[in-house]
Amino acid sequence: MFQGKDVILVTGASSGIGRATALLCNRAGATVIASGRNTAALQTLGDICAAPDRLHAEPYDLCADLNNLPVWIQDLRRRYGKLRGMAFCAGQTWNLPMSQYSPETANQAFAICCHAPLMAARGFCDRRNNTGQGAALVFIAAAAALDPNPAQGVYGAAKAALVAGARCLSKEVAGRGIRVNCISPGLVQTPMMEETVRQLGREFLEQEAPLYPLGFGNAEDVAHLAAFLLSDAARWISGQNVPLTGGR
Amino acid sequence: MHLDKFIPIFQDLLQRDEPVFATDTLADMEEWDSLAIMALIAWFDKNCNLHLTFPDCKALRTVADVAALAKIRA
Ligand SMILES: NC(=O)c1ccc[n+]([C@@H]2O[C@H](COP(=O)([O-])OP(=O)(O)OC[C@H]3O[C@@H](n4cnc5c(N)ncnc54)[C@H](OP(=O)(O)O)[C@@H]3O)[C@@H](O)[C@H]2O)c1
Repeated sequence: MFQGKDVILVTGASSGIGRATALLCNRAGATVIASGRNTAALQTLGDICAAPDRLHAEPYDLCADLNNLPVWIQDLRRRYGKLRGMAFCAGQTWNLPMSQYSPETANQAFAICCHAPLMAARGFCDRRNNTGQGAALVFIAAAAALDPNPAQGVYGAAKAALVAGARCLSKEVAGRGIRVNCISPGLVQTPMMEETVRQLGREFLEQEAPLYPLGFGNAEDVAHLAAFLLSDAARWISGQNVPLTGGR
Repeated sequence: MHLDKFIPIFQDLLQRDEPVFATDTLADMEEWDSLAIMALIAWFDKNCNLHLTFPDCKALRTVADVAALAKIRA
């Protein structure tokens, strides 16, 4: 699917969907820059990945200084070469009814769900930082961007903003042969989902389970689509937001 | 602002690896496209309080012309 010269940045690589995406891209031949905050978790990737010489841990807090993200990407390009792909998987969820909506909470959600991915994309799409024709970006949005459940308004709004920004970006960079897509998963069994269950209780899962004819997803289900969208096999797909919801 | 300071800013706006010179013709640069023009307009708006239009920018010929527009001294 990829070659060693294909450098792919995966954010959120320390857990869940990002971790599965980093491992899959590495197994599929790419050189992977695996980023997250949890250094220990990133380092374990090197022990379990298919090709440790093609996996580089880069601990980084994406929200520490949003304006610096293009500079961070430029620094990665200097050290690893021009980027062929980026899978932006980092994220956090908020379970908050609209009665509790506040600009302060919304700002936190927008920081990691919208500003960070779009600022990283700004760095990636800089002509000097990517390989041009064939380069590709994938953002993990969420089904909540299209159809939020109760208490998903803040999270859904931030992810919807990401989807709109990504769609615009896809048109701006298409002329240079760069593709931009979103994946909008439903419930995927990762630490994030465990946290939601912890907050909302097991009844939440009992309510949701019948809505998923194919059951809940796992991180690899999303990783396969992300890797496909980053690869040349998806050369005619751009500007899309692909729902991935197990038949829901 | 001095021209020496503006040139790297302009190079950055164009996202260009190769160096930029005051005498360079804009039309010869593949990076000088409609998005670069919009980025330049936004930059002048924010940093010089200068409200350029798209036709203003399309009429420019060289990098020196861009600088002159912002009364940047050579
Ligand atoms: N799981 C689901 O049901 C589901 C459904 C729809 C969409 N999604 C989306 O899928 C993406 C991945 O979620 P997941 O389920 O894999 O969650 P997860 O297991 O909790 O992983 C989240 C990842 O994001 C990273 N991260 C969060 N804030 C960060 C920051 N400020 N700087 C750097 N990294 C940061 C975490 O890094 P550290 O742990 O190292 O801090 C972690 O690697 C998210 O965007 C999420 O919104 C998930």
